Amino acid sequence: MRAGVFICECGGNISGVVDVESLAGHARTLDGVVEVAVNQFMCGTEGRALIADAVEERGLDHVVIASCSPRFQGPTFERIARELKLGENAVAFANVREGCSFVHRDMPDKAQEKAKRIVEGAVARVRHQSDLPRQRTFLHRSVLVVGGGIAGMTAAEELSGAGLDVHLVEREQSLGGFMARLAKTFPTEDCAMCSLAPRLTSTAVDGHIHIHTLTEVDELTGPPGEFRVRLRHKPRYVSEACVGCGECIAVCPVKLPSHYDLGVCEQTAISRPFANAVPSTFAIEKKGWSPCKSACAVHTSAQGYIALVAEGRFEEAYRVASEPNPFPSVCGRICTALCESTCSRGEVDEPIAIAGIKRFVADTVGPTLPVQPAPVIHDDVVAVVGAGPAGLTCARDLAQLGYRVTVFEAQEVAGGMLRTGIPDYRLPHDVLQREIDQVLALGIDLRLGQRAGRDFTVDGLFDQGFKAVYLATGLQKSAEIELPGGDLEGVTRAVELLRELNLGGTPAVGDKVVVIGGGDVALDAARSVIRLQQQRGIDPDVTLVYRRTQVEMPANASELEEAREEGLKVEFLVQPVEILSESDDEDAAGPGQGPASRVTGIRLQRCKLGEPDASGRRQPVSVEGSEFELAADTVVFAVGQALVDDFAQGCEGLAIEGGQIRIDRETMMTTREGVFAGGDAAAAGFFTAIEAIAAGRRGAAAIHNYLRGERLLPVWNEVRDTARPSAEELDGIEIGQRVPMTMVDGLVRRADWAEVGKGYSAEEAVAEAKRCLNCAVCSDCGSCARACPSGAIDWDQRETTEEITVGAVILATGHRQFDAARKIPLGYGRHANVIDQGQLSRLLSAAGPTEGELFRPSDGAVPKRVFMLQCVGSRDVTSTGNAHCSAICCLFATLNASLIRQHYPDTEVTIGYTDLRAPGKAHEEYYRLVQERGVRYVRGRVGEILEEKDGSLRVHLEDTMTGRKHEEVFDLVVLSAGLEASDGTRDIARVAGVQTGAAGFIREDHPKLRPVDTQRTGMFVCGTAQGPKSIPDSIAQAKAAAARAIAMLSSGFTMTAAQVAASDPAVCIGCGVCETVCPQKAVVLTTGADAHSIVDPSICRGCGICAAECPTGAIQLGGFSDAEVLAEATLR
Amino acid sequence: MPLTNRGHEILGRLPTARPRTSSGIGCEIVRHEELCVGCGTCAKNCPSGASRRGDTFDVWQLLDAPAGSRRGALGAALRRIARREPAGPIEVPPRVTVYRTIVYDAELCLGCGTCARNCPADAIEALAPKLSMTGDATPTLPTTGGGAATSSATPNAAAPTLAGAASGEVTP
Amino acid sequence: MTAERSNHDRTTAEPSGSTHVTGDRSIVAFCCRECAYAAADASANARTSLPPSVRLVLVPCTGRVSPLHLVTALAEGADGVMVAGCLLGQCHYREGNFNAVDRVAFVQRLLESVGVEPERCRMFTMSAGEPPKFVAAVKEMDRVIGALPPLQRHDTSMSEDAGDAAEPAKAAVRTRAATPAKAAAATRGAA
Repeated sequence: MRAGVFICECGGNISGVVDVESLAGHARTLDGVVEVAVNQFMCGTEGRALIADAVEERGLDHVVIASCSPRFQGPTFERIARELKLGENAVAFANVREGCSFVHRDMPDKAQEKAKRIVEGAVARVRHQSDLPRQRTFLHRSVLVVGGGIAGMTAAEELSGAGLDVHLVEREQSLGGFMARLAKTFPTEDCAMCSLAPRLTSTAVDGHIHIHTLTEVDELTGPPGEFRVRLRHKPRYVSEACVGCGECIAVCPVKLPSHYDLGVCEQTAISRPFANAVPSTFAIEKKGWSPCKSACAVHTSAQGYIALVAEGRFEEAYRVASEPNPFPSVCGRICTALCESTCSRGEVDEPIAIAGIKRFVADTVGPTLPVQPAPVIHDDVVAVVGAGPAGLTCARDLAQLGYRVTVFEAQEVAGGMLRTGIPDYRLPHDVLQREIDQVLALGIDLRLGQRAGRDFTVDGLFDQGFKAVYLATGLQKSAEIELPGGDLEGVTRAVELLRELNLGGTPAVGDKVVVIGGGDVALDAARSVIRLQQQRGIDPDVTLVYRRTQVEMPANASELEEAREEGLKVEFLVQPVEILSESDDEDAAGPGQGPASRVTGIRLQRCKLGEPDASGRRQPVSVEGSEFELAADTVVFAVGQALVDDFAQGCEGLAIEGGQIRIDRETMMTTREGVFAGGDAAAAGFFTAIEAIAAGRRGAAAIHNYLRGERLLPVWNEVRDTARPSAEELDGIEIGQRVPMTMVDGLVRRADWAEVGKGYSAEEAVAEAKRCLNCAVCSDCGSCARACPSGAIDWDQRETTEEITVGAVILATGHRQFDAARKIPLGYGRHANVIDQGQLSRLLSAAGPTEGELFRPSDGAVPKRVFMLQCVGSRDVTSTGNAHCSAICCLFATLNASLIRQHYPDTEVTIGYTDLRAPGKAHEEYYRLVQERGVRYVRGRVGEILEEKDGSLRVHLEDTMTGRKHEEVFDLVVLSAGLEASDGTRDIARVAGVQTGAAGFIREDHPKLRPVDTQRTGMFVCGTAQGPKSIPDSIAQAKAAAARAIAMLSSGFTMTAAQVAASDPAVCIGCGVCETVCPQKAVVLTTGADAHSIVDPSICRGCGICAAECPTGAIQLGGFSDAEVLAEATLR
Repeated sequence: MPLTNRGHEILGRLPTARPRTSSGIGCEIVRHEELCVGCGTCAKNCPSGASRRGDTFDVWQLLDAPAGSRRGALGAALRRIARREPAGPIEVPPRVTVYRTIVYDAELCLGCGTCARNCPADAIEALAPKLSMTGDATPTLPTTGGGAATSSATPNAAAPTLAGAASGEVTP
Repeated sequence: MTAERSNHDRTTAEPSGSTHVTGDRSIVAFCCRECAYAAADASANARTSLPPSVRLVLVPCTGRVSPLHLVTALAEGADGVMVAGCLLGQCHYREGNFNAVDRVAFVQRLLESVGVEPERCRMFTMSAGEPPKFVAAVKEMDRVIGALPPLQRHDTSMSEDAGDAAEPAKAAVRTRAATPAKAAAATRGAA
C-alpha cells in the first residue's frame, strides 16, 4: 500500500497540545506510509490541495487523516477521496482532537504518546481497507399510503404536490377516518367536517392520487424503491352509475348498528357513511350467503323475505320467496326445511320458522296477485312429461324464458306426489291447486290423462314438433316387498293407499294396522289410516314400526310429534320378519274372504344399530331371540318408491340404471339427445319436493342453453361462502322463543281432514321474522335493485386483487377508541346512557343522527346532568394493559363539554379527571375558557357506575382533592376512552413487517431523532398509527413522512450504502445464522447443495450483527471487516 | 424404535445379529468437537432431537480449534492470556449463537447420519454400526469403510476400536 | 511493525505491548457511532479531561463487536476492553446493543474460566445526549484496570523452551491428549 498521513493542526486545537511535527516524524516510520504532511486546517481548501497533490505526485492509494472526530469531517474527507478517484473506503481517521488533544490538555506528554498510538491504529487499519461496491438501484416514483384519514390524505397531497404518484388505500368504504366523525375540533371549535370536506374533495380530484377504498393490503415485499404490493379490493356491489340519491336506503329492510355513527344509530345494509364521502358511491355490506340460503336447494333468499316480513312488506316478501320457487305455499307446509336446521338462531334458542313465515306470506299474498301470460319469444316448443313439482317448475321457468310449453300428466289431476302423496290435512288440495293454476296461467298447456308409453311416446313428441322433452315422471310405485306373506290380503302399499285416498277414494283399512317405514310417506299413511279408522267410528289403532331410532328417521321430527299426538304408536329398532295369516285354518275364513289369505299379524324382531353402511347410516342388526308378534289385520308398507318406466317405451336411446333415468349432471340431458330429466325419476339421491323444484329449474336452464345453442344460463348456481354471526355476536343475543304455530289438539283434529297447522297470523309472522339475526347482513332481497333509478346495483362484483409496485410506503392507519366495555364496573355496553366521546361527537354533530341535539340513548331526553370520566383505558396498565396517556382526551372532553354548555345552558357538565393535560398550542387557554363556561372539573376517580330504573346513572366518585367518596346521579355519562392502535394498524404492521410498541402503535425508528421513519428502510409512519396525538400533530407528521418519502425518491434512483454487509460464497458454509439474527431481514439463504447467504444491500442498515455471529467470517461488514477493526484495536 | 432401512439390510445379511441396546440401529456417530464451528446445522436437521444447541460452551473447543478458523483465532487469543486450564463449561447468554457446545444424546440418536452428511465443518463422522454376531456384547464386526456418510476418512482411522480386525474378515 | 515497539510475545514485568501510553494501562473502547462515540465527542468538545489509557475504536453499532475482537484486543496488548453503546431499547439499529451485552457477558465468562479477571471486559450504555455517562464509564474502566496488574501474555507454542523457564506465568494450557482419530481428523479439518 502507499498511504499518505495528513495531520491537521486544527488551528491550534490539536497543535496546541500535540507536537504535530514530532507526530509526523513518527508517522513516517510506519510501514506503508510514503507521505506525511501537516496543515493548519486539513479540511480547508489548502488542506484539500495538499492531499490532492500528494495523491497525484506520490501515487497514494490510501489516506489517513489525523484530525477531529470522523463524525464531524468524515464525510468531507470521504468526498475528497471519491473525487480523487480513490474509491470508497480509502480513508482512515485518526481522531487526535476529540480523541486526544481536547481531553488530555493537562498531560501533553501522554497526549503525544497517545496520538502516536492513534495514528498507528489508523495506518494499521487503512492497510486492510479496500474499495466497497455500491449498487445503483431504481426507485419507483410512487408511494403507497395506507390509511385514508386526515394523516393519510395530508401525506398524499404533499406527495402529489411533489409530482409523485400516490396509491391511497383505505379499508372502509370512504376516506375520512376518525376526524370525519368529530363534531368540532379543539381549540378553535371549528367544525370538523368543514375542515375535512375540502381535503376530501381535493384528494378526490387529484390526478396523482389513486384512491382505493374497501381495499386491504395483503402483501408487502421487496426492497425499498421497489416495494411489491398486493391489494385486495372488496366488492361494493354498487357500480359507478350510482348517483347517490339514497332511494335504496329507504327500501333496505336490514338494519345494523352504524359503523360511521359508532353504533349510536342504525344503518341499512346498503349505505354511504356521510354526505361528503369519497367516493360517493354507496356500498352494500354483504358477508356472503346466509346459511338458510345456502342450505335451500333452490337458494331462496330466505333472509331476504324474512327481513321484508319483519317490516310488514308482505307483497315484496312474496316476490322474493316465489322467484326461485313457484310453490311457496306448498313448501311452507311440507318442505324438509334444511334452512331451519342450519339457522344461526338455533345456536341461541330456536331456529326461525322460515317455512312458516313463507307459508304466511304465500297464503296471504299469493292469491291476490294476478298472473299474466308470459310473452312467447322463441319458436321452439317444449314438452314436459309429469306435472309434479319438477315438471311444473321446469315448465314455469321455460314459459318465463319465452317458450311454449305443453305438460303431459298421466293422472286426471296435476301435482304429482304433492297431490297424490300428501294428504289434505298436511297440504290442502285447494292450496296446491291454486299454485298450480298460477303456474299454468303463464300460458302453459296442460294435458291430463295422458300417459307416456300408452297415449303418446317421447319419440312421437319429437315427430309432433317438440324440440325438447323434460321427463319428470317421479317414482310412482312402491318398492317391492320381499317378506314372507307379502302377498296376503290386507297387505297394502303406502304409495298406492295414499294415491287412492287423495284421488277421492276411501282405501280399505282394518281395525289394527301396522305401518312399516320411517319416512314422511310412512307417517302420511299412518296418520291417514288413523283418520280413516276414526271416520269408520272405531278407535284408531295404528302402530308404526321402524328399524332404526328416531334420530335416523327421515321423516320430519314435527311430523312424528303430530302423529303421536293423534294417537300413533311407535316401535323403534324393530324389523318385520314375516306377515302372518290364519293360513292353516280353513274354518277361520269368513264370508267374502279368500281361504287362508288374510293378514292376522306380523312377526317382528328387535334389532340394534351396528356399523354404518356405505351411505353412512348405521345398519340394524338383529338381536337373537327377540322375535315377537303384533296382531294386525292390515299391514302398510312404506319402505320406498320405485320407477314406473312405461315412458321408456318409444323413447329410443334412453338409459335407465339402478331405477333412475341416467342424466349428465352438467347438461341435465339423458342419453337420448334432446331428452332431459329431473325430479325423483333422476334425483341423484335427493328425493324431496324442494330438490325436485331445484331440478326443474336446472332442467329449464339446460333446455334453454340446448335450444339456443350456447351457454346462456348457468345450470348450477355459483355457491357463495356462507356467512354466520361470530360466537361473540351470538353470545350477545337475548334468549327468546320461536312463535308457536297454532295447532288443534291431536285427538280432536284426527277426526277430519282439515289442515292441522293453522299458519301464522300477520302479527305472529312479523314477530317471528324479527328474531332473524341477518347472518349475511345484506339479505339478497333485491329491494335496492328494484328501487335504484340508475340500475347501479351490481351483484356480479367479486373480490379482486391487484399488484402494484411503489418506491416508498407511508403507514397512516390511525387508531381506535379503547373498548370501554372492558372496564366492566363502568357499565359501558350494559347501561344505555353510558357512551364514549366518539359517540357523543356523533350526537353533537350538526349532520349527525340527531342533527346536533343531545338526546340521550335510552329515552331521547335531553340530559340535565352530564358526567365525563377521563382516562378510561389510558394510564391504566393493571386492568387494561395501557400504560400510556392518550394525549387528547382531556381536550376532547373539554371540547364536548363546551359544546354542550353552549347549546344547553341549563345542562350541568362535570368532568372527572386524573390530571388535566393541555400541552399543545392554545390548549391551556382553551381549558381555562371552558372552565369559565361553567364546566365543573373534579379531580376524581370513579369506582362504579350503576343504572337507575329511569336510565340515569349513579356514579360512585372519589374526589381526590378532598379524599371523600360520594355518589352523584347523572342523566348521561360519557367515557373518555383512550386511544389504541386500530385494527388496521395492527394488520398493516404484520403485513409490512414493522415493529409495534405498547398498545400496538407502530414503533418509530428512533424516539427522538427519527419520529416518522420505521425500522424498514423506505417505510414511514405518521398520525395516530404512531401514537396518540391531536389533528395538527397528525398533519405535521404526515407532512414530515411525505418529505421523507420525497427525499428518498426525488432523483428516481439511489446508490446503496457502502457500509453494508456482504457474504463471500466461497467461505460461507450456509449455516443460516446470519439470516436468523438480522433485524432487518436483509439476509437470505440460497437453497440447494451450495447454499450460502446473500445480503440485499438496499435493505441492510450496516449494524454488523451478522458479521459478529458468523462462525466462519464469511459475512463481513463493508468498512468494518474483522481485519479492519482488529487492526485498529491492536495496532497491527 | 423401528429399524431403519439400513438396519433391515444389515439384519438381512446377518440374521443372528443383535443391535446395540441404544435406541436406534444405525451408524455410530463420532463428533469431533474441536472442529465444530457452532453453526447448529446438525441440531436443525436432527430428526430425533439427539443433537441440539446447548446452553453451555466447552471452552476447550476454542483452545483446540484448528488454526485459521474463527474459533481457532479466538482460541489462540485466549491462550495467550490464559492463566490456567478451563475448569468446566461456561453458560452462554441467549444472543450468542455460535459459541455453544452441541449437546449430543446417544440415547436419542437414530444413527441416521444426517448430521454427519450435512456438517459443513466435517466435524461429524458416521461409522458403520457395530453388531454382535454371537451372543456376547462385544462388537467385533469389521467394516470396510466409514458407514453411511463419512467424509474422506481412511478406513482404519475411522474405526478406532477395531483392534485386530482386518478388512473383510469375520471373527466368530 | 515498527522498530520502536517492544516485543510483546515475551512476558515482561512491565505493562506489555506497545498499545499502552507510557506508564498507563491500555484500554481499548469500542464505541458505537450513534451514541457512545457521539457522547465521547460531546464530552471532548466540553474539554472534559479523561485518563489517557482509553483509546477509541469506532464501530457503527456495538452489535458489530464480537468475542473475537474483545479477546484478541486483550491478547494483543490491551489490559482492558470496553464496549460503549446506546441505551438498551434505543439502539439505532434496533437490537445491536442487546447482542453486545450478551457477547460481553460471554467473554467475561471465558476470561473467568481461564483465570483472567472478568472485569477486564465490560459494557457501558449511554445516549448521545449523556456525555457525563461516557466520562464516568471511561474513568471507571481506568480505575478498575489500573487496580489490576497488567495483563500477562504468553507465547502459545507448546514446546518447553519458549521464554524464561523461571516465569511463573508460563503457558500451562495444553491441548487435550489427541486420540489417533482426532489427530487424523485434525489433519483433515485444518485444510
